[in-house]
Amino acid sequence: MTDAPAPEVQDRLLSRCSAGEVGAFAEVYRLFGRGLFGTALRMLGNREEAEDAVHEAFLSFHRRAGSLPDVSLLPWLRRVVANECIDRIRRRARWQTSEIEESNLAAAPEAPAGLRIDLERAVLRLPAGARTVFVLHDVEGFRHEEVAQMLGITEGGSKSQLFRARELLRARLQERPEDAP
Amino acid sequence: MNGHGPDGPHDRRFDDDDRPTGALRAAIEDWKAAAPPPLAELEQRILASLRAGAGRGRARVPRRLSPLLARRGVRWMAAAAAVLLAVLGLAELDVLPLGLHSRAITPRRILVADALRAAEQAEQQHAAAIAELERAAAPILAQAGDPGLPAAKAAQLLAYRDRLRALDSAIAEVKSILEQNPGHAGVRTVLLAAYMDKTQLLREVLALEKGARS
Repeated sequence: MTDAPAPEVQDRLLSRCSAGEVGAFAEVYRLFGRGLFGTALRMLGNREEAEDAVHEAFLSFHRRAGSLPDVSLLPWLRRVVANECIDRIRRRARWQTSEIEESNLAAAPEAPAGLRIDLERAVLRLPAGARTVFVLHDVEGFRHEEVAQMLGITEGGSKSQLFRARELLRARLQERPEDAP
Repeated sequence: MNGHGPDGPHDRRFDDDDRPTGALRAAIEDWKAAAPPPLAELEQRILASLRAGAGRGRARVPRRLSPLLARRGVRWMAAAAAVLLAVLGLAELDVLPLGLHSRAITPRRILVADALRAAEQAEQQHAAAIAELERAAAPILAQAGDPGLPAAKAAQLLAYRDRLRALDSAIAEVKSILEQNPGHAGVRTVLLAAYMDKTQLLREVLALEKGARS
């Protein structure tokens, strides 16, 4: 994630956004867009969906910018993006259309070698609940309390899903690639 | 800003003691550092949607239509529908020509005179480029009726012709709205997107001919 600008800079930006200045939203996007997209991509595993999630998050930001409570801009945006991704994951499950497509990562031009791709693949193979908790907590840095609130589960549930995710990941990262199904 | 309100997630990351360690943490950091950027078009799409007022419940500017048109034939209908939806959404919510509402258009969303002139010039340039492309593409599209043409080729040309007609119809509708509300930035954004997609489609038609020759 891009280093966040100083809080006072974020405050000023937020004030300009609250006043409806589109240029201020453009600055927010340039500062945080890439990081927010990264969050969405890790949660959804699909570029197009991740872009749509960031798009929707900015529309939500625009809609609420004039009436936001006392918030920190970047953490608030990250939360909005995460919530948008959670909604999308739930819709997928509801319609049973698709699980995260591994091909999306395999075909990415930036597809790396080594541990990262192993981790990406291993994360993709996690059960949806464990995967979402793992990404939110271990990758995106949300606390169990926040994860629980976002997912509508208990903190204990979040911890238990995370434990399960880590166990599976550790086991899968130790597998040789040719052992993987 | 304190980051502790109900809408403000905690800003201090990794501050509980249940955090990944060792190789797993290193792999996570590596994964995050290597995240690819979004497509450059995303910023334009977001800003166009904001200018169109989509954040306040109005129609969104759709994902760029041309890649969809190029990728999957069936999606052209969705693309044309998205343009129409945007138009109808704007008309329904606060554009006046359909006579549904009497609310005034808010000043913030009205283009000032200079910006309006610039937008009109840009549209004229697009329209001129499209007219030229249409002239060049007309004989190619006309081959669709040639009984000697292989069926696959004829179907491809007919599909392009249908897509172009759908876009023409959307463009005509947008223009009719603009005649009554020339300063509406959101509608102008939709028109520009439709022009860009038509340009792309016509280029694809011309590329078909080039491909056939080579």
